[in-house]
Amino acid sequence: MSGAGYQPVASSRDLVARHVFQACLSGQEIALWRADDGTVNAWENRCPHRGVRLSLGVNLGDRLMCRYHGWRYESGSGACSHIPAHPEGPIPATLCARRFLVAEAGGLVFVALGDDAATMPALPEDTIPLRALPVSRPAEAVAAALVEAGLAAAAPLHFIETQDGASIHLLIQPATDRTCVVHGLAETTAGALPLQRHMARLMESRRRAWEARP
Amino acid sequence: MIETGGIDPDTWNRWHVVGCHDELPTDGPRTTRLLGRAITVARRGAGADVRLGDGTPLPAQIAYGYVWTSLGTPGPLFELPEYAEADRRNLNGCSFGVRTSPPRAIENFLDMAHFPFVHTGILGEEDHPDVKDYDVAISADGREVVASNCLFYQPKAAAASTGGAEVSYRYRVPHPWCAVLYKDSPVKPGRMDVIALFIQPCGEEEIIANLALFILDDDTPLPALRRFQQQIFVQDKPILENQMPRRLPLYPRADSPVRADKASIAYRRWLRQLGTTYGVLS
Repeated sequence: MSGAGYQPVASSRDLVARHVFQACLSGQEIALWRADDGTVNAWENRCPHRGVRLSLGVNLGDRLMCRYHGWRYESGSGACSHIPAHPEGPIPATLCARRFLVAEAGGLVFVALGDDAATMPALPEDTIPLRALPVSRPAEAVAAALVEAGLAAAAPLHFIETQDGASIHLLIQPATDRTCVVHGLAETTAGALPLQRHMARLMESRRRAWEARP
Repeated sequence: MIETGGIDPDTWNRWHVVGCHDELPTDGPRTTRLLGRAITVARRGAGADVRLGDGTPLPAQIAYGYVWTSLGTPGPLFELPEYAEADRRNLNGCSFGVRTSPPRAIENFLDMAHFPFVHTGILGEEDHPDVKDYDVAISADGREVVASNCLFYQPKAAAASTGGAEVSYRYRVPHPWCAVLYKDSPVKPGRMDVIALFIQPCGEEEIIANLALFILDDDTPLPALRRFQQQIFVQDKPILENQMPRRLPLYPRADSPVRADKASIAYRRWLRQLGTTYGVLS
């Protein structure tokens, strides 16, 4: 979905050390991994050599190693730097993992699938993340339900409401054409835990209602 | 005349494996799938009776210990003369259902470069990952792909191996979904064990992979032989099920092959020559 700008694909906490996280945005599978220096990489979840999912691979801290043939791809550039079957090289300069634009904000990881100048959603400075909610409904249907419920839309898939005196941002990740994930951020200085629990219960009941629709 | 549903003539008119004869039930037919259709396979003494789900009889033959059938008008099945050699043990090593296309499984079988990473400590070691140059050709009559003079260091090449060795390999692909491997016997110097992969194409992205052994090993007990093959295959299965797309791309620049992938490049070219469209992306 080119031109959609940055969309949420994961929580920052999903990218734990030396892990490769599998995300999906508008049907595009993405391998997300954080290098030891903090760099977040968002790559097409497919080794350019033989198509094996890179999320099966090994996060070596500064490179990702494909599980199938041990090919290594550099954090940042995505360039292939080692082909074990031919240790003496040469490696074609064009051999590279396919990269997507990626950014972190408010405890969420955002990816832009298009390579045009993508814009980040406008978010407050201090937020706490809420539990991400996978929903078996298309993103558009969930957005329509939130409009119907009277929430203010900051963007087609970005809504703002007030709960327990705190301003809540709901960002919808279109995962596939039939499923989405609703990511929440709460702008608060009050007790975080009660608010997180309240939102978890509220979102659960919303999901039941959305998924019950024909 | 059965409706082909657009399946290419080469695939339609081939013999396809539909199970190991010894493993057929004795108390009635087994239901399975071939090229997207339900079929039944029943034991008939030393032979078999194969039918479509609606009862239409299909041609059937037993060869190399397996039942073969066809939806079309098949020619002769490929030759595997080693099956008849008196000193070989012939058995089905294992049969696994895999969510992939038939040619993805064949390509993996032809691939040596994954041994150190997928079959670590058995068929390869991370310290010895290099794939030396080998020869590959489509036979003059166009009936098979042959890769020869393949050499690879293996810590435990077979169930009967006692240590690591530089092992020589030869591959034949005499059928789009069947490949035969000849590798040095650890027991009888100068002779070769034969291991074949016979793929039952249940659907375009759904297979049963049968590993057939025709080996020179009188001593290793049957459970240990089977365990060795199963151990290797369960390492391949998650790789095969995580290759995207599931169908083998035949169009240019779909993948990034290197010298070690010569066998796969020849195999893809051969499938294009045969006009195979089943299980591939053209």
